[in-house]
Amino acid sequence: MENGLFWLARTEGQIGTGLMVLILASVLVPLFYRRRYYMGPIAFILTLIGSAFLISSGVSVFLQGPTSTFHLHPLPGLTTPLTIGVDYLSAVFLIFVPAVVTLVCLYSLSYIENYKEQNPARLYPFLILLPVAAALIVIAADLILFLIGWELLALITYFFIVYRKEKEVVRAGAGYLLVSQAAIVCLIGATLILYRFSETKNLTFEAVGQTIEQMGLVHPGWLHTALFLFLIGFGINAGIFPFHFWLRKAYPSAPSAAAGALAAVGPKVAVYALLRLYADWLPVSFFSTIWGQILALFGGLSLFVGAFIALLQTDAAKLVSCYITVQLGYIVLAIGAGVTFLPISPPIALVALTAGLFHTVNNALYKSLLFLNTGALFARAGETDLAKVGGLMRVMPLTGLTALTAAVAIAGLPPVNGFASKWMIFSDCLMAGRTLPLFALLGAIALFISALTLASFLKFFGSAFLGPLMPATAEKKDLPLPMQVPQALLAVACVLIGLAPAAFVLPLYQAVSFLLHKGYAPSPYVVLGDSLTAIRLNFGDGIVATWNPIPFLAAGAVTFLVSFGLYRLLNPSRRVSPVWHCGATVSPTIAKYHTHGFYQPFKDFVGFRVNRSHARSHNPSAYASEEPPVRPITQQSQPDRLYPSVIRWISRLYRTIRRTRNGSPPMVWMLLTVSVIVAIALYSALS
Amino acid sequence: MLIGLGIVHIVLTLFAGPFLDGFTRKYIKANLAHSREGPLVGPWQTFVDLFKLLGKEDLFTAGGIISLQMLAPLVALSSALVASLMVPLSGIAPLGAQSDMIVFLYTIGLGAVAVVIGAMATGSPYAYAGSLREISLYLIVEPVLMLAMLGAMALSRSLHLEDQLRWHYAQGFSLPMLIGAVAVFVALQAQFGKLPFDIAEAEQEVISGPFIEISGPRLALLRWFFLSRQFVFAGLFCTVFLPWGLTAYPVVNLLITLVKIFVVYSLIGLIDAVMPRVRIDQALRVYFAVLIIALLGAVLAFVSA
Repeated sequence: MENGLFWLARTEGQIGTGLMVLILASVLVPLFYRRRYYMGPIAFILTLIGSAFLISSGVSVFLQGPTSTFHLHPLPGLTTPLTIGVDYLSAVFLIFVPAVVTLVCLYSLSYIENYKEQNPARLYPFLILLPVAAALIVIAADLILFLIGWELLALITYFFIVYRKEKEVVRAGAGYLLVSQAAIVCLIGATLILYRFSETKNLTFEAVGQTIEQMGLVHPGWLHTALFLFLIGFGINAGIFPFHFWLRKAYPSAPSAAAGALAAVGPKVAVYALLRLYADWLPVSFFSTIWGQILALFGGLSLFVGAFIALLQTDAAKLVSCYITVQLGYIVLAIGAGVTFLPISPPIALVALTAGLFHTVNNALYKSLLFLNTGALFARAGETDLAKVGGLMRVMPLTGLTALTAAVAIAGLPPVNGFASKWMIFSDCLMAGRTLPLFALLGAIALFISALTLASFLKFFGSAFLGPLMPATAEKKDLPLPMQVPQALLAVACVLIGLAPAAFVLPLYQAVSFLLHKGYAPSPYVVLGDSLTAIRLNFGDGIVATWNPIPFLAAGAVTFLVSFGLYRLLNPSRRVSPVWHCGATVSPTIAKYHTHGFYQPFKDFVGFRVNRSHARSHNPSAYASEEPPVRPITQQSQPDRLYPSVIRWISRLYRTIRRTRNGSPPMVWMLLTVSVIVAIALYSALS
Repeated sequence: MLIGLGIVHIVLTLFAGPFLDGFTRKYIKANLAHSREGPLVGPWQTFVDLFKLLGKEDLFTAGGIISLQMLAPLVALSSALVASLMVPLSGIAPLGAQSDMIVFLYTIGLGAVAVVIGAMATGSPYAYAGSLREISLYLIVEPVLMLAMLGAMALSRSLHLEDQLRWHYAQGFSLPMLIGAVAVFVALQAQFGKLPFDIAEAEQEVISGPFIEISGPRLALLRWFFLSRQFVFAGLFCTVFLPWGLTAYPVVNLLITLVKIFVVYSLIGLIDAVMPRVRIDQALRVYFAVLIIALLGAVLAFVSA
């Protein structure tokens, strides 16, 4: 370290400076707890500076190559040193996570005003620490530092959830704390197993890779146990099935801005961990095939379960939260396909892993955007229930446009970024299906769920931003600028990545192929094509799939002009007239198409598979202030008292049974399981 | 050369959709099925309708989002036209080398999304009802098409429509493709929006559904979108699933494909003329059965590949 400037030019220096700025900021900002108008701008500027350092470190990794590992002083009592190392995979996360968090920080400047009774000093420090936690996880090169990062992330998430201090929010927070600590305990258990079988008693990532390789030969049973524990730990954080239940309670409890930042961090670093575990540490072997298929199955189930639960949601925040499970399902499916095919076909494996990583980045952008849109609903209508908001695009046109972009992106319609990554996942799974038909089935499910996603987000956009303007809308003026700009920037990022996908996929391919042995990965110019815009997939026997946005858009522009020419052909006059309601004058509450009734025929059709879908078809709460147009059946006189009492008994019994599946008992089951696992791990470590 | 072919595709799609529709209305529905004279200008009636609408006053709704109401029909029509560039009508497609079957499915889906968003942007509850019926049906019809094309992909080992067409022609008869073709033919009836599955518009129930508040030139464009989409789907069916008659000369191929499309339109028109409308729940049940058949075909394709 000759001089300060030289230090700053190096990747480690930039990371160190960035982390120091952010940690200092998180200490400094709460000092302004009496002056909430200064706190926001200070927090934003410091986050911007810290994030800029982190982003530049990520970029410099791609320019200068990965850093060598860097040992810090070991913690007292431990033989293993704390180690830091940044490779291309870490760099990807160092770039997009701080960027999204900074935008959310800007958004929070105005958004936080909606929580007048809470002091923002309870939000900003954690928002600032969020990139620190994510950075710790991705730059750690040993398991101890890695676990510290996870714990920090869990605590930050907890403080986001309990920000509003309401009773149910605190309960959701307690639930989350239990679940997240269960995840950490699983990770610690796996770490203990690895420590026990490590010959050098060293937990740096290099040593872990060697330990796992040896365990595969000597103690395959213990290796499976460790991999299983890691999968539970990361799976809980990712929110994939069967660990999806906490998302629907935790994310909507947090303020939408915080949820937006979390959505770009929490599940995404879990993807980082899965890639690190299965593609980096686990040697290409028989184990990859088994665990890849397990991952892919978990992914496929997450797609199905998440999408069908989301079909029943009418709350914007809950709907978007459910789609975390679905989107992680796509990513885990892709990673699973990639890991499975590592020993079978390197091109298919590499494309799948790249697609998973690409979808992670894209998902971070549009998922945060969707949460920010939800926040915008809350800011203007004081409500995120889709049944009670409506017509907001007339109040905030730019936000409506960004919500449309996000909806199109998450539904994976061309030419936005969601399409490019989903297209890669579909193509790869379908081509992989020729070797292992399981992947064709999962690919078909993924295609179908994509249509369901479209339906759900048409519901989101159509209910909240289109239709009649609902009376709940408090202020009929556009959002303040700090809330509009981040949404617009995220939407622009979604569109830009969609226009030149290959330019973004090539670095990601480099990141993934760096994890594997040298010379294992085929050249990206063969597998993905050598264009900066088009992706041409070639798995060894010719180009099998192509997505080229530029000719697509050129053709789109020409045909759009043709259509416009037809529209202007006979020079029609234009007029604006009121909506026709069959001659009657109706209030917006009645004129709004009920959110609960969306896709009712389809919901009824799949009803035997979807729990409680029929029960949700009519919601009287939307009529709270008005006379219900149809008298509910329950108010009619009952001629017989026998049947109602029997029905009541049965429904009470049903509710009792349901509580064991849906209420707090899963937590109890989870704790029991975890304690058994810990006992096994401790036994293994000490014996 | 590809640009020239592209112009041919666009002009053909814009022209043949309304013409074939007018033909089935006059000769199949009116003359053959209903024993009445039908439109006096014969197959040109649909064009007359479209041009009449193009000159009418354009009404926007006061409670709606005018920009989206304006954009939706334009985006819808252009998505159908772009999709037509991906179908190898003459054995090759102008965008064939730049796209594949997934891109095709999503491009044509983009048009449906534009229609739905345009309808919702008017703010009429009837438009919502119609659009949501359309999406409910789409959720079950789309997988049929998808699974059939998945079978084609497994057998031809490529996602490119041109490769699938060439493989199927070289292979000759293939059982999984036959099953797929049957499933797709049933799915076409809903994709065409024809009886017994014209549930989204259903004039008597939801007063034209998505179109209720759309009038004049935008209605013409939306009609044109549906007509173009019919032609594109018929073209896909007649090339990938019925590839026979492929020669070395693109012009001959194009003519043969048009003859096949003509036959398909006539069959679909005949079914439309003699069937009553089914309810949406019945339609979902019908297409679920078709979905199972398509799944069978896809499984067979993956097993035999």
